[in-house]
Amino acid sequence: MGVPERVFEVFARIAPGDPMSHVGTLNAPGIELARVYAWRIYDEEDWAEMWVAPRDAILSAHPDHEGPLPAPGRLAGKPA
Amino acid sequence: MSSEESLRTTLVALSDTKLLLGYHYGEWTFGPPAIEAGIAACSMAQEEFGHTRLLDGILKREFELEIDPLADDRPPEAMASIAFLDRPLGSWTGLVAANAVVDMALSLVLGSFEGGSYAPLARVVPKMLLEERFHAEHADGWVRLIDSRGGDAAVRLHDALGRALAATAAFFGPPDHDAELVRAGARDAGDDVLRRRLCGRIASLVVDPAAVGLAADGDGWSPAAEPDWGGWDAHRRRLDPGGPRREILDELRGTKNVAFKSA
Repeated sequence: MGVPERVFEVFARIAPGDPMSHVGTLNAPGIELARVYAWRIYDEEDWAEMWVAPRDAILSAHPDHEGPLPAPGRLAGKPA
Repeated sequence: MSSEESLRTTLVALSDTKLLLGYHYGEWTFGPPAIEAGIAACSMAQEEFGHTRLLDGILKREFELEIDPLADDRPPEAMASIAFLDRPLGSWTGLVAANAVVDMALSLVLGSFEGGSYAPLARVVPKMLLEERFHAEHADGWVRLIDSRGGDAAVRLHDALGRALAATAAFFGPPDHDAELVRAGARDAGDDVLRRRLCGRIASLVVDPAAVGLAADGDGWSPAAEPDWGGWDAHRRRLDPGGPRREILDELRGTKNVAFKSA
């Protein structure tokens, strides 16, 4: 069928007020399915909160980096 | 049919259909379009089997009817499962149709007991529906995605949705067949109302509801062709006289592994 997929990053807290942790990454054709997949795949804890965001919507705030969050190990703007 | 008999047959149909639905979800743990979809299918399978156990527990406690899926020797023609699940679903579009139509139909029926007077079911329905929320989101996501992209995949999905809707219309049964249960307060909506709700829901997910066999009906949607209720089996809630394929039941019941079952 060739459905284009996006990469999503998953964040969660075990208890309200805890720091938000990055718990993983997934591929999904859209945000609706990304929400379902995130809750199903990263179910190892009794999470109080779980959030999912398209990787390309997460922007760098570090002055040395620019643009959206790249794949792991490939920080934009940083010398290879 | 008395309200007690109607309640019992409804519980058996829910349990049998969830068992078959769990089987098909489980089968699609492997071979889905993405590993994430396989994990979701596997997870939905576990929940359907869990719901089957809950419903079987109620049947045993309240009706002295024991259904042990591993020791069940009912022939296929005695199963009360929705006919769309009789055969392998064949493709991902079949799985999506079962998810969107069959699973949702069961949730609508369960939901109608949530605020009703039948405590054994009303007590367990909220937890079941909480799990089912994700099944519905999974179905909605895939139906919208495949439908909006058009092409052959959308045609196959429409065909599967149409067949699932026809088989599920039979599950909901002829008008007012369950009026006694609603009058008795066990449910807050009858199957006619729920069938319209299901049709409306599917119509809202696709661009052209006529492509899946739905027709505008007042302010809602109904199947374009009303079934001929002459051959309806009230005990199995089916029009199709057959049943699930024997090999599917054999797999579900562990027939090949009978030597290893505990006595």
